[in-house]
Amino acid sequence: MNREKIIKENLPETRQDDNERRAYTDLIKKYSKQLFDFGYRFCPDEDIVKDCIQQLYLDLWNRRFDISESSTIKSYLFKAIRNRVLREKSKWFKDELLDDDYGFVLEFAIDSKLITDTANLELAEKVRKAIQTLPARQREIIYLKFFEDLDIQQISSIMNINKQSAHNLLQKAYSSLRADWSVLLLLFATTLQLYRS
Amino acid sequence: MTEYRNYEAEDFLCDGFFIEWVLHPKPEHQVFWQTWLSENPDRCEHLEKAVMILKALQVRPNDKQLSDKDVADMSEHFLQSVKPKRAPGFKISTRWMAAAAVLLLVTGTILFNQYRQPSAILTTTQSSLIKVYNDNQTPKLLQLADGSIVVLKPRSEITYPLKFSDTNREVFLKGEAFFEVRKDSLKAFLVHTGSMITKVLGTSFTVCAYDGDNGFRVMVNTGKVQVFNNQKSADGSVKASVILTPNLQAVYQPKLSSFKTNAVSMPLILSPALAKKEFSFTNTPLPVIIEKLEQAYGVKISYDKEKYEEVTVTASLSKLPLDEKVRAICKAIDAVYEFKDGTISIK
Repeated sequence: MNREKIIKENLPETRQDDNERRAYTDLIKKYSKQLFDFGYRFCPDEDIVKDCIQQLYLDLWNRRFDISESSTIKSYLFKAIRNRVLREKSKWFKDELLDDDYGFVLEFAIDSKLITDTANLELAEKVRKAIQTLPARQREIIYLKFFEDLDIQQISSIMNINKQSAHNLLQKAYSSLRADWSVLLLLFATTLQLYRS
Repeated sequence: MTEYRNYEAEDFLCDGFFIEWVLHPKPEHQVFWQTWLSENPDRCEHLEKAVMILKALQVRPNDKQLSDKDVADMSEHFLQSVKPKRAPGFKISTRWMAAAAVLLLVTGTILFNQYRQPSAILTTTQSSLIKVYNDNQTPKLLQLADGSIVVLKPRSEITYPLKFSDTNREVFLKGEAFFEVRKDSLKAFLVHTGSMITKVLGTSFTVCAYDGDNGFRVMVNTGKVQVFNNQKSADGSVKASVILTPNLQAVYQPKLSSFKTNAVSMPLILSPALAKKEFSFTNTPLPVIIEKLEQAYGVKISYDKEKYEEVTVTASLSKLPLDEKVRAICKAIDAVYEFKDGTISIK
């Protein structure tokens, strides 16, 4: 892609100066926890994910990647860690991996303190269950959109799909949710009817 | 823009624009929803219900998080790895050139001796290499710079750097050796044998490769080990790769270019389940413990038999690496130990 233009000129002596190293340690402090949280959802193996993050920083450094571009760095890091973790995971767990379903752990809990009555608690529980049944890719896009607050442009770059596909995927997630709890509602209604008759 | 006029809580909950407003409000959301509420006061109840539910739904944290210390370690590791190679300004000292020459010479010898030695060694090792050949009849015990233990079997040779590079730990083996690798999730431990690479982050296992890739075998005691053939296929993918867990072994089949995986016939004494039983001692005579260690690691441990015959030890040693097992025993019996010439002696 057009990454070339944000790779700095090669300045052999100055690039390794203290400022640059400090910028990297700031970056490490700022993003490592988020990257781990994201990567671990693909591959629940602490060592592998840590290893990937570490290698990623070194790789950026060696390629003299310009990390000061704050608007793109977050999605760039997310994209890179996603690729690395998936690649590494396919090495370690070769037999368990199917092509499209790479697995993405995303579970929700309900903070019942925030819910006022049982009817609403039931609805919240329904939404929670519905999200759980979404396919991995849809769970991933929901995570990126609402947990990491990334926009469609950034998400499409991270998930390596075009903008329109990302948009469609998100819409699909919404409508599967809708379909999911329509079914639940329907079930509920039928049982009620049976009960009445 | 959607009308939202007939929306109920369920409908709001699967609307992107609504969700965004609740979770990450931006000015355009605020303006829209405030206007909408003032125009549809009768729908207020449904909207509030949806807001409440959305706010109560929280992503459940992973069972593992990166701690502040982990982040600090990463940062430290990074700084170590990118340390400037020479002092600011520039002086190419003759010392540097000498070091480079030695490195080339040593590497050259290895390239000459070992068929297809990966070129990785040129880039990853910064300090001098040590080559050990075991011409004894008994296994030889070595400890590497990172504390990892190697039990080198007779007729086997290992080459390793005096100090490991900042990015990984690479050793080169011909023959057979048992490894007990110190855990360091930031620096993988790689054993090169012919075109095979055995990769771990911290575990114990045996690699056997007397005759290049023929009869290449890896057995795992603890942890997870990845073995792969470093020769790439035409499409650049890794040719054969296998993951091993305790009590499994992989044997390379050159004709098929693949690994055959099966369970070892006898559970290995150092595998977690067995080790827990075998290395928990209650008032056990020292000679019994020593014998067990010798058997498990295949190393010789010398000690004063008469002096310690009657001494008993109570300890649970299963989780400790060899050197710490010995240290714990010595502490218990008030003795000292020494790693010397490939053996251990307790005094």
